[in-house]
Amino acid sequence: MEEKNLKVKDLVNIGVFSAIYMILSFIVMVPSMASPIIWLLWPAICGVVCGSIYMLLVAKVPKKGTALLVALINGIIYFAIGECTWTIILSFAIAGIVAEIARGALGYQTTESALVSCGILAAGFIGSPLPMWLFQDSYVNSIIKMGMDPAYVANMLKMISAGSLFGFTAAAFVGGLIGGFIGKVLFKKHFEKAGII
Amino acid sequence: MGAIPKGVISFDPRTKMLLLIAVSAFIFTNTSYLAEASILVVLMLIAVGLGIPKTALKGAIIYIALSAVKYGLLPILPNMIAANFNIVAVTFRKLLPCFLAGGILVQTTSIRLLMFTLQKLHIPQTLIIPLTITVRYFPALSEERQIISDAMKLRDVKGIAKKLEYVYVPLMITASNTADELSQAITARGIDNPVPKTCAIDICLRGLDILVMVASVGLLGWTIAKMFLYQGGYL
Repeated sequence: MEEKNLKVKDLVNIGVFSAIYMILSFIVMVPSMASPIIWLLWPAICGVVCGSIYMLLVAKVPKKGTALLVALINGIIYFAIGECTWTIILSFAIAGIVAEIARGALGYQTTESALVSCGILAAGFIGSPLPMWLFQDSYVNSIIKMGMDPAYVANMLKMISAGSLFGFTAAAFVGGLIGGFIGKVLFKKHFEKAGII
Repeated sequence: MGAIPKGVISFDPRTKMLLLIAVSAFIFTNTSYLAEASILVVLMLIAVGLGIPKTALKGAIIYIALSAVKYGLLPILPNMIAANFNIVAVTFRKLLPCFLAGGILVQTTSIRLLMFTLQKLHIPQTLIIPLTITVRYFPALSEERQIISDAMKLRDVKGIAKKLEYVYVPLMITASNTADELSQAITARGIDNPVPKTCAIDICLRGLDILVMVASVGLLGWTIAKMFLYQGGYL
């Protein structure tokens, strides 16, 4: 692991693990879209589910660029299959860059940097429910047209306010941390003995 | 990855990418139901022409169903439930043109051609290689899932926590092994070679491509202009 740059082998590892990362998040996504509240929590759920995959990847490829590439690939594929809009590329790109900075600061080999970047990546999923915040005008219009109770409208808006955006992003980060810890436990039990990492 | 359907018309991958970007930018500033529906109709015509009528039909059915829910069902539902479902119904309906444009790109473009196009657009190899591997690995994953579930039945694994553990661990171990094998295979095929790769099918822009591209650019321009005109109201 002297080499700093990404080799073909590392790129293939990133590709394969990104596929699993994306599929797992996608499996969780389908049922969670049934209700807006679960959909808002989707990034956090993804963090828990996908964390261990990412932890194994960074253990195998402890180099610069891993986090950013995973984030970009997920964003691009989610965009290309049309499940999400350009917001997800944006949020994943930001998450990827922030994760890279965190990894650079904490060192590529340490557990802390893996855990923190895992949480940051999970926050990138916030781009999927982000249209809910962006389409707010449409909701308000249609709710008012339907003759709703103003108190209820205010309540609804509370759910999709700037504060809640921050809150759900933070929840995603915590979810990612939990996923990372699960990954660590699994490693201790299975992978270290088998000599995979 | 299934076979690429042969349609009456064919587009350059670059055209499809531009179309996807234009459509997904447009729906964020659009508030008119008519414009939204007409975009969808155009996309459906393109999808039928490219040879994926099933996708187009599915999009149309979902769109009509969601519109019916929005204007027919929601007014008669109790307020609590209606407001909740309103968000989902509106979001999905607005995102549907995106689904369709994405379907057009993914279902009618082969991976090889996509890789070639990305290279032509000067996307760095560090991104193209893992991206293609990811797309290539999806079908392998579904095989993997089958094998794991068979093995779990054979060993009679009980309990959710245990089941999850028994899915995760083999999944990660096979992925790790596959990655090693795959990298040896593609290195043997010369992916390390720094010269630009070539492709048997050349991509070029035809008349129809230019028409769709001009329309997409127009849509993008209109979106950006609108954003400046009604500043603050949208986005």
